Amino acid sequence: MEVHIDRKQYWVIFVALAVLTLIEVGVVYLDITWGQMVFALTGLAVAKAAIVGYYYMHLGHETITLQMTVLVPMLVPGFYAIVLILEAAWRMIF
Amino acid sequence: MSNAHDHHHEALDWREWPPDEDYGHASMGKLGMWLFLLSDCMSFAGLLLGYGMLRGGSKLWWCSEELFNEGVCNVGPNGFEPEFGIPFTAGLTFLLICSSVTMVMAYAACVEKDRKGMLTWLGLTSLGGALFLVGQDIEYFGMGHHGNLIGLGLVFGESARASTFYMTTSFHGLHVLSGVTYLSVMWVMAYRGRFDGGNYNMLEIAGLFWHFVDLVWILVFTFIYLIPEPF
Repeated sequence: MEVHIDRKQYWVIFVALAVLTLIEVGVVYLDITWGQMVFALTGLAVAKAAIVGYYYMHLGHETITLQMTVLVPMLVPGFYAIVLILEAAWRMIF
Repeated sequence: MSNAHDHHHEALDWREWPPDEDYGHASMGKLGMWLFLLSDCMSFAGLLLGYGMLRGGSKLWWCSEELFNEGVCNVGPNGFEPEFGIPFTAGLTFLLICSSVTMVMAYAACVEKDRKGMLTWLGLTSLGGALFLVGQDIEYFGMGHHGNLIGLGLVFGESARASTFYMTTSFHGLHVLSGVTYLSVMWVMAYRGRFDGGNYNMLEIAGLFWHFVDLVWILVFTFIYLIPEPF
């Protein structure tokens, strides 16, 4: 049975996560609109979470069935959040 | 008798199972942990969505010192609530990221049958989690000039901002405490030689839980701490 161990990749991911965290904190102090800030912070957080799941939790090495078993339910809250935001925006506009 | 006993153990070794058509070589324990993490994910999703709905639906989310001085609001024992210490919490986030890389290094050492390395990395992972809890305690109750959100007026039950903050971060803290306990048990098992011979299944499952704790914190840190008031 093949086991995937890539120590160099683990450290590269660690540096990437640390850098993305620094960027996140930096974004808070940028002179941009609130909407842009929320979009940037949410994007960075989702990217970091995906990196942890794919590389450190080894989802990238699992079968497509296991990947979908995990990913699809995890996307449901995100989808629900989008529906709630759209519904709130619709009520504010109309 | 001894041979029969050994043979029984060999027969139960998950590494020898034929790959499943859908789930490959994933063990039952690993699938069970993934299913638990999915249910746990829904708990955190409920907390974060509730937080988002309360925050999005409120006319004034944070009664800051500035607004209190202007007479706009009056919340809690001090009349206003403190801001969150982003640099301090960013340090705690970095600590969890460090503990995630030490966890995968422990896993790698286990696969490579390096017991000493496994114990070192696993110990560092538990230490990272314990330090995170100390940091959270400082954030809540204070130490020197750091933290003390409660003393500064962020009191559970006084506002939706305070209640959602403590509910979400303490629920996560409970997971960190569970993780540190879980990893400490794994350390003792590793010390006793349970994972010698490259049997990494239990350690990989513990790692899944620990990485999930890190993953959830990434989202909590962003949505609770970083996203500012609309301006």
